[in-house]
Amino acid sequence: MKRKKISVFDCFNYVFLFLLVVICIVPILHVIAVSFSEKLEAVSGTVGILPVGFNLSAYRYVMEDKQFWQSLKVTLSRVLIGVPINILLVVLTAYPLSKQNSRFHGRTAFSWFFVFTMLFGGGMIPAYMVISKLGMMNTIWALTLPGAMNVSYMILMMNFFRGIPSEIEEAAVIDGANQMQILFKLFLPMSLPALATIILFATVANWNVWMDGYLYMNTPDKYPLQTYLATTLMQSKNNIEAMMTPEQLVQMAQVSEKTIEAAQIFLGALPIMCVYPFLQKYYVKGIVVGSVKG
Amino acid sequence: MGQNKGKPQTVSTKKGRFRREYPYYLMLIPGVAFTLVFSYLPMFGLVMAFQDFSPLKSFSGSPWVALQNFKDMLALPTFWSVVRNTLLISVSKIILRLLVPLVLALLLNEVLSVKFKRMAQTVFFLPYFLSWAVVGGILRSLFQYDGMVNGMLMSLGMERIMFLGSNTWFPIIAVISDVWKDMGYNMIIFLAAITNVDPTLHESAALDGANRWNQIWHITLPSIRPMVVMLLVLSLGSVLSAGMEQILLLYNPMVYESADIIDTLVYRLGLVNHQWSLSAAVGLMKSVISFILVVISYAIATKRFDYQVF
Amino acid sequence: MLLLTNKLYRGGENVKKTRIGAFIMAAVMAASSLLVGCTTNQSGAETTAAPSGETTPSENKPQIAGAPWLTPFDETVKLDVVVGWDVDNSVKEGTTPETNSLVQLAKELLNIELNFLWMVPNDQLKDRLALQISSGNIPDIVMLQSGDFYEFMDSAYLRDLTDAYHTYASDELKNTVEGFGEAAVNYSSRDGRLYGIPAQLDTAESVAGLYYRKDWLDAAGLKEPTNTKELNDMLVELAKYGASVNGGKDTVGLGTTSNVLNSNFALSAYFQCYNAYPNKWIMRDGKLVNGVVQDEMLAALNGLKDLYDRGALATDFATWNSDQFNERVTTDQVGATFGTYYIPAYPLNLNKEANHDAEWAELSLTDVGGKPSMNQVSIAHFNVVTKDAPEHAEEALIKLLNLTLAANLNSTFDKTPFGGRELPENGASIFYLPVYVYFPTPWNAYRENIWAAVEAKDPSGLKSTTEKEWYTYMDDYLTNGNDCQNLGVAWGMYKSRLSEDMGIAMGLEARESGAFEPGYYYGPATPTEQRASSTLTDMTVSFIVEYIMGKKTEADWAGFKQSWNDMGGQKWTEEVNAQYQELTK
Repeated sequence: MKRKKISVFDCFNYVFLFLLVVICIVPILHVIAVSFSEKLEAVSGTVGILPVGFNLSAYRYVMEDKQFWQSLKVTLSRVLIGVPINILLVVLTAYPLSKQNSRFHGRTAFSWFFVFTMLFGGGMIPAYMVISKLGMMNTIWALTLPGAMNVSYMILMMNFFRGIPSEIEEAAVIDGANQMQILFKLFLPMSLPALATIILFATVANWNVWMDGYLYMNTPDKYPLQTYLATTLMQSKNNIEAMMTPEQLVQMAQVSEKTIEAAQIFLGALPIMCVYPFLQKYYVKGIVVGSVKG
Repeated sequence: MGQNKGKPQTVSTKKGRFRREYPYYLMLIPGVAFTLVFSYLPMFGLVMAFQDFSPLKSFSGSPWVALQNFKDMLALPTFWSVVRNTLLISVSKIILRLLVPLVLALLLNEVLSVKFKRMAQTVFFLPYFLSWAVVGGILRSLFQYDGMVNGMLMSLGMERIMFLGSNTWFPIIAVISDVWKDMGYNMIIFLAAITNVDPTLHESAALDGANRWNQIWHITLPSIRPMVVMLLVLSLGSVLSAGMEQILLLYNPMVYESADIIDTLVYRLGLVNHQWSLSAAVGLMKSVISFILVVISYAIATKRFDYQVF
Repeated sequence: MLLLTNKLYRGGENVKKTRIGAFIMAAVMAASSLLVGCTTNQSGAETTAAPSGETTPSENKPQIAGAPWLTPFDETVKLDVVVGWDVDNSVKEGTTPETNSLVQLAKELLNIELNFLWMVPNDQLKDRLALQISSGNIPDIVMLQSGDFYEFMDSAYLRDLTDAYHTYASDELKNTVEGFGEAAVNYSSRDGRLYGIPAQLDTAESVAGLYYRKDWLDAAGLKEPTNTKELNDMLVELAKYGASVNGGKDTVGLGTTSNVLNSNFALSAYFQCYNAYPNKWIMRDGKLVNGVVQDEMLAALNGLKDLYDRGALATDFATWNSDQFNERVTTDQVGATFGTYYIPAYPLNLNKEANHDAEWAELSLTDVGGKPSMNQVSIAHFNVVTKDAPEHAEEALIKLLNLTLAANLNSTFDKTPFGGRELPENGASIFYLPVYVYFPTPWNAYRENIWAAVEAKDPSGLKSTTEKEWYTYMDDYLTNGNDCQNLGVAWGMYKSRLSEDMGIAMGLEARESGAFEPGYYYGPATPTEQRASSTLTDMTVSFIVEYIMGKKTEADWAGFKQSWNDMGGQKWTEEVNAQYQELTK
């Protein structure tokens, strides 16, 4: 690969992007620093991006929390079940809709059929009624199925499929391939960056949603991680205006809610942050190819 | 444009067309089924907007009030100023949420060091993982009257600014912080699109002596334009939602005038008694307006740019 | 827990929607029935026939064995229930509502079986219950907040509890229901029949006072103020002095948060110094009026403007949230703040912990010529039986409530039948149950007992767990001062609960002396209120903030009153008066 010599633009570019990197990473460092800090320092707002009064009590507290691990399990199963269903539905739907009107005559009507649901919704109560009538209450299906057919991912995928020349499909048809084979053997391998993108989005979405845990799960041992975290965060917020029992006060005196919050936020986001670099190679690979220039 | 200009097939018979197209219908079955059950079925809840709904009476028992909820909504004394705030904030967000990630993706694409590129990409996505509760706390400590930003202003010999209590500054901070938090999301879409551009195009352009700027302008941008138009059209769907969670965490009585948006107003109305029907009416109004905007922009994209968004 | 939203929000206080927020709200809306001279233990719901079962009125040894409420049902009564709960760390680890040992006791002692449909954090209870109710599946016994309670009652969805209450309620239950006067029973009844068992909070806990840095006041050579003018001067001086000792950081005389009409860390109590009561229903000439449109408001507003102009209020006083407030208190940047009894225990104790030299004292609003507000009743929620519940559910509800009271650590019941399973460390929690009432803290008794024990250095005479704990903290702090083992907790507990001149002492004194302004009306939300109250509150808050910042002047006052009345305030006032007549007749 030929390397161009560094131009003025490159310098400017690096400096600018580096500044942005700093702006994006500082808040995360701050959260991590708070999680390792002394309680009083955290409350009085003196912690910057380095811990003040380093200690591990917040992490010890979270680690010993059985519910934390139980919820992590629920979230993992939700991701492992939900994301594949999600991707399968999105890909299966996006493929036919990526065809031109002349090749698939119903496509525009179907597109609007899907897009309409992005704009109109019935709200919390009817959704609850449907889930409960279907007998999905308190099961992992209540968390994974309702949002499985995601229209924005579908449109994204569809637009990528459109970029693939139709000659490829025609040639395959002549070779006797059926549509399923064309989709999974030809189109998908050619859309890896797009696929990586929606896998990332779907994983993050499944990881971060918390409200449905409260709506559809009956007992805390079924809560996904973010639902559980929201519970504890809310509880510690409650305490701020609490008439507390001595026990609660003693506990707060030992571990501040602020440091625990920070530890939970960090631990809760850590696994998902690790997914990203793994998927990233699908972009970079393309970019490397694309950046070869004279 | 991203669409293929394949020759239309000559349709000999209806039967022939069906034989060719039925696999497409089969593939749509799962998606359509899910959408019918989980999206269309619950839409009967929209009737709530025309009822005086109470959970006890549910849908069958709640009295019908025709358009009363919409009249109540329009009669709110601050309604129009709230609509103005919502539009101001959300339109700025929509524009910047496209522009900033686009520029970032292009700049990142020009970076030669793979390591730096990977690192920057990851880091730009990080704020997306933080909840607004966390970001709100950080923003407050940055922008409060004795916060870091004012500290810097003072050391530069300037007057302090009451950012979070100022009707001028509050919307600006709301927009910028929102763009900052979520810029990684659209950036990834753009990066994926840029990656998909056929590298031979760049190569031949380079051989023709096109410089980097020319390549961006004539190759990269045109090939991701469909993506930009698509994201723009889709984001019009949320033009009346200016980010309730964020505003709720940051606003205060000093900036109601500029920061109160439709969703926060409805939220406060619901504090006394959950206003199921009023919320539903406001939601329906937002849906209808968004729908109209999406239809219009879809039509414009099709007519003017010959690009079918979806 | 949003159980109290409705009526309590009506106070105009825009507090966070939390269970504890609810406590405070309730507290804020203090009671006045005591004024009327209601003594405790008067029999409620007078219109009904005398109880058929016998309740032995025995002062010191309420009995368990043989008491009618303890008789188990012959056939198991199965009840569908839902729970709002938050993990309480004092309860045995891993305990959930289902494994709560009180649930087992209910089965064993009373033959009542609870079938838990679901459980959610208290914050989520209101929404999830609405979903559950909408889909037509209503729990058999449930806690309802005020808004729902009145709707259920008016739609004939509730079972009449009158007879079950009179037959099976233990003396302690009757005492908690009627102990704060007959208003609570009136608010829970329709046409003389009782449809809900109200869970009430002690009204004395709602009285607000001014907490200030005594060490700064002394060091600056100032005296306690005796009128509102001196109060302002003091707050200004505290800000100045504070800045001179904390290293020149931004310092305020009066610390506030963005919920300006709250009692804690806000301005509501400042208005009360001027006998002004924004968003409270007060009695004037035999009619209920909203304090927000009374002319006393103007003097208080001018006072606040004066504070702002002189730098005693933060430039951005209405933008702080509670985190920012806590930060500044901790770092010596706040000279004073208004609050109810518990704030020394949190967050003022953070300051004490960070800076051992910090001393806080409390000033009663009456000292500067004002009167604190105290509500007629503070009902957190109503415990009810819904119409499709199984037979004997009314009796089961009353028996369950009896059980929760008997299991309360501080009640004087003979707890032998429980075999220790009523203790938190053995997995019991009242607040994990689907229904409960609050056991009112017997403040005076506790304080006297603990003082006596501290005097004698002998805690052996203390009976309840709470008393023993408080004793430990008080003794530790008084003996070791700032060197005591857990300064933040010990100091906070002592100052808020046991001190003679701050914390709960102020509320008890106000109630005893009658030096408070009663807040009235705790009924269903009136139609106008549902539609307009949020707008009116917004308008009020904006007006106050703008007045303080100088964007509105005295010339705008008449216009404000006019538009408050025009935009629904007038109609709301009429409706409230009519409802009040109805409820108290």
